[in-house]
Amino acid sequence: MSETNSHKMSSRSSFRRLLAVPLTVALLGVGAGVSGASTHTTARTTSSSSTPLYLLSSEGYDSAMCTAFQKATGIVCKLSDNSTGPTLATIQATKNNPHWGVAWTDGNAPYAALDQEGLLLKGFEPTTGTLTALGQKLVPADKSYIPTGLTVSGAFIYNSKVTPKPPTTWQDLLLPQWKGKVGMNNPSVDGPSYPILATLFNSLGGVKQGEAFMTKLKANGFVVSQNSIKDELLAGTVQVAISQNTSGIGASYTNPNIKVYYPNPSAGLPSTIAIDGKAGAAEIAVAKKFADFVYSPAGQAVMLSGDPQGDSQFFPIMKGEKSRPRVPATSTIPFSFPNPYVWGSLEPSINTWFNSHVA
Amino acid sequence: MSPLEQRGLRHWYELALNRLGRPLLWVILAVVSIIPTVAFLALAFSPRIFSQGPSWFTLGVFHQAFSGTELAGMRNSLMIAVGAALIATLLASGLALIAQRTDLRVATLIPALLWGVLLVPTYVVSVGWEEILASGNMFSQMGLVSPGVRGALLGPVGIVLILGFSGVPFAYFAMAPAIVGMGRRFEEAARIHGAGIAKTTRTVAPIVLPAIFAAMIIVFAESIGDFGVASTIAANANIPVATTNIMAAIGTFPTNFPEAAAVGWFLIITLATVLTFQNWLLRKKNYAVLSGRSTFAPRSHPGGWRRVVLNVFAYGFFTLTLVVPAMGAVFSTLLKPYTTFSLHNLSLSAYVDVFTKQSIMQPIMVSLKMSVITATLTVILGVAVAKVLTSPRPGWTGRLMDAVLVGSVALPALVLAAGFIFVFNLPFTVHLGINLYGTLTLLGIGYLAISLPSNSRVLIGPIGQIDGSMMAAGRIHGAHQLRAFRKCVLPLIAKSLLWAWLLSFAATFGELPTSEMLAPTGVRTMATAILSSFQAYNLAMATAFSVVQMVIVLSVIATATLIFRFVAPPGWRNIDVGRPR
Repeated sequence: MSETNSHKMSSRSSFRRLLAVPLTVALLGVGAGVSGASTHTTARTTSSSSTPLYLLSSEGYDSAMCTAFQKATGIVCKLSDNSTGPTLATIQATKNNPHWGVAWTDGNAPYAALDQEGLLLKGFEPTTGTLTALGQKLVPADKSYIPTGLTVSGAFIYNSKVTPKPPTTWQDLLLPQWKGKVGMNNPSVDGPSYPILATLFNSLGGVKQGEAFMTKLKANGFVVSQNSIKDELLAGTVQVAISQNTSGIGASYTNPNIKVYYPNPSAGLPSTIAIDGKAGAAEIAVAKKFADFVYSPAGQAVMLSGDPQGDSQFFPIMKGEKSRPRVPATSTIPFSFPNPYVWGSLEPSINTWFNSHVA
Repeated sequence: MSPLEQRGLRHWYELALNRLGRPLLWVILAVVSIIPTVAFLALAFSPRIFSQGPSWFTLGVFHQAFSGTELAGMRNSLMIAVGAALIATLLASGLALIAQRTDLRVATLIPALLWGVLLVPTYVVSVGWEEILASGNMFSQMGLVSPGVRGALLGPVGIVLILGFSGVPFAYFAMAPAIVGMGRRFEEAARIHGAGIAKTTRTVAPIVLPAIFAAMIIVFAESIGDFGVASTIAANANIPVATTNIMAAIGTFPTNFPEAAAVGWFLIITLATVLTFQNWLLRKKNYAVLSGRSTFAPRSHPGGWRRVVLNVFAYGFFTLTLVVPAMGAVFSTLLKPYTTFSLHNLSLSAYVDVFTKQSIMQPIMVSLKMSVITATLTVILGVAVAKVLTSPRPGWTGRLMDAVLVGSVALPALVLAAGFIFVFNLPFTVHLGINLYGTLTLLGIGYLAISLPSNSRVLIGPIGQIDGSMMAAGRIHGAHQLRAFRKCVLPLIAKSLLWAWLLSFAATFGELPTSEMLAPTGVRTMATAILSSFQAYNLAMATAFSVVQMVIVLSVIATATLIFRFVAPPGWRNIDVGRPR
C-alpha cells in the first residue's frame, strides 16, 4: 500500500468513526422518544372512569361538541379533526388494530361499507332524543350507525345578482342557456359529491341512464372542479354550483346574493356517527355516552351553534329541535335517499367512469 | 482513571463506533424509510397482508392504475418532471456561473437567496401565482395579465415553471461544488485552441456531466413526487398527475390503498430506471479530471449589455420565486374574500379571527417542538448519509442507500404515512410492546422520513468537499476525534448545517399529510389547525393562519442566523464550502 493511499484510508476511517458518534446520538434520541412515548400510547384501559373518548371527526362543530361533552360528563374527549377522506382512510388503515372510539362525518354510504366489513357496533340507538319521521328513515336495519342531522349534497347554489332566474330542474341544466355555466366538485376528490350522482342516477332509473344524462351534461360544457366549485361560483367562473347546501348558506352571510335552490330530487346527506365495534367495553360505554349526549337537547344546541356559518346550517332530525333561521323547513325539500348498502358499493365504479368521461 | 486506562477505553470506544457506524445508519434508515415504504408498496401485489383486500397475490390493481386517468396522470408527471429538471438545471448553471465567475453584487447574494427559495413550499408559490394572476386583481386591472398569459401560467406551462424554479436550489447545490472545483483551466485551454463560446461549452459541459446528472435527478424526483403544485394549479386546470391520483385513491371512500401502491411503484420504477441510466452513462467514460490542484477561477467584471442581462436574469428569477409568493400571501389575507383589488377592500379581519376565534398556542407549541427535534435529527443523520454517499468507494450499499433516498423523495408523504400505520399498528408488533401508532414518537419518525432524503441530498455538496485529510491533520496534532471534527471540519460546514437545519425546521413546521395521518388523537399541529379553519369554511382566516405560520418560520430563521452571526466563532462565520464564492 502506498503511503498516500494509506494516509487516505486512515483519514477516511477517522471520519467514519466520527460518523458513528452522531448516529449513536440519533438512535438514542429515537430510543428515548420511543420510551417516552409510553406516556402517550393509546393503550386501551378497562376502567370506564378514566377511559377517554377518541373522536375522529370532520364536522365543523366537532370541537365545540368535544368541549361540551367533556364539561358535561367529565370524560376526556380527544379529537382528531380532519377532512372526511383522511378520517375514513385512517379507519381503513387501522382496521386490524383500531384506535378510535367514535367516527363522525357526513354521509352514510361509507358506514354501510364498514358495517359490511363487520367493523361497527350494531344494535345501539341513543335514547336521549326522539328522531322525527324523516330521521327514522336514515336509521339502518341493524342500527350499525347513527344519523345525527341532515343536509343536501346536491343543491343549486347561485348568485341572484348574476343569475336572477336559476335552473329549477336537473333537465334544465341541459339547456343551451346553461352551457359552460354549471359545475360540481369531482366526487373522486370530494366525498360528499358522490351522493349527488347516486341520487340522480337512482332517480333516472339506474347507472346506464345516469351515465347517459351526465354525458349530455358534459356535452353542454359541465364544469368539474378539483378543489371547490363554490369558490368558482364566488369567483364568477360558473353561475350555478351543485354543492352541499350548508356551504351555500354559509356563503350567504358574506354575500347576501348567494341563494340556494333545492331541485327534485335533492340528495339527502346525513351526518353520521359510528362506534368502533372492536373497541373494549369501557370505550364502547364512553362512545355510547357521547352519542347520547349528541342526541340530547344540550348536544343538539351545540350542533346548531358550533359552526354557525358552516355545518350548523343542517336540518335537525330530532323532535323539538329548530333549524337555524336561513335553513328552510324540511317539508319544502324534495329529499331523496338512495339505499347506502346498494349505492355505496357502486361508488368506485361510478367515480372511475365519471373521471374518464366527465371530469 | 490512569492515562493507560483512558487510552484503552478510548480504543474500545472508537472500535465500537467504527464497527457500528454503517449498521446503525442502516437500522435507522430501515425504520424511518425502507420498511414503511416496502410495506406500502407490497399492497399492490398482496392487499390481504394488511387486510386491504381479499387477494394474497394479484396484479389486478396494476391494470386499474395503468389505464384511463391514472395512466394520463403518470404520463403528465413524467413530462412535467423532465421539463422541470431541464429548466432547473439550466437556471442553476446560469446562477452558479454568475455566483462564482462574476463580481456582480447579486453574485454574493445568490446562495443565501437560494436557501430562501428552498424554504418556500411549492403550494405557497402556486397559491401566490394564482393570486397574482387571478382576474380582477391589481395586475389584471393594470393590463399586465392577459387571459392568454393567465391560461398558460395557470396550466401546464405554469406547473413546469414552478416546479423548475423550486428545483433550482437542489440543482445548484448539486452542481456548484463541481463547477468550483473545475476552475477555469479547461475553458481557457479550449479558447486557446480557437473554440468559440458554443464549442467551449460543448467541450467543458461533459466534464461536469456527473454533477449535471445529479442535479437533474434530484429535481426530477422532487417534481414527480410533488403534491403542492399538483393539488393547486394542476387540480384547478384539470391536469391529472400521479400524486393527485394517489391522493384520490387514498382520500376518498372506499379507500384504495392497493391502487395508490401501484402508482407508487410507477414512481419508484421510474426513478430506478433514471438512476440506472445515469450509472450506465457515467461508467462509459472516465470523468475524473478534478484534482487537488484545482484552483478557484478568477472573477470577471462583465460590462455593458452583458451586465444588464445577467442582473435581469438573477433578480428576475428571485422576484418570481420569492417576491411573487410573498405578495400572493399578503393579497389573499388582506383582501376581503372574492373582491377585486381596491383600498376599500383591504381588511385585517382575517388576522383578528386567527387570534380570537381559536386557541392557536397548542398547535404552535406542538409544531415548534416536533420541528426542532426533527431538524436536529435530520442534520445529524443527513451528515452521516451525505458522508456515505460522497465516499470515493460507496460500494453497493452506498448505491442502494442513494436509490432508497431518491425513491423516498419521489413518494408522497401520504404514502409513507400510510406505510407507517400498516407497519407500526400490527397486532403482533403491539403484542411485542412496540405500540407506536397514536404517539408523538411515530409522528416524529414520520417527519424524519420526509425531511431526511432531500436534506441529505442538499448536504452532499458541502460534505463532499471535505477531504479526509482535514480530520487526519487534527488527529496528527493530538486532538481526539470530536475535537478534530470541531476544530478542522465543523468550521467548514457550519453554515451549511445551519441552513439544512432551518430547511428541515421550516418543512416540518407546516407539514400536512403526515400530521393528518399520524398525529395522536387530540393533538393539533399547525397544518391540521389550518386545515380545520379551511373546513370551517373560513378561507380568509385559514390563509391568515398560513401567513402567521410563515412569520413564525421567518422569525426562527432570523433568530438562528443572528445567533450564528454573533455567537459562533469567527472561523465558522467566514468559511463555508457550501457557499462557493
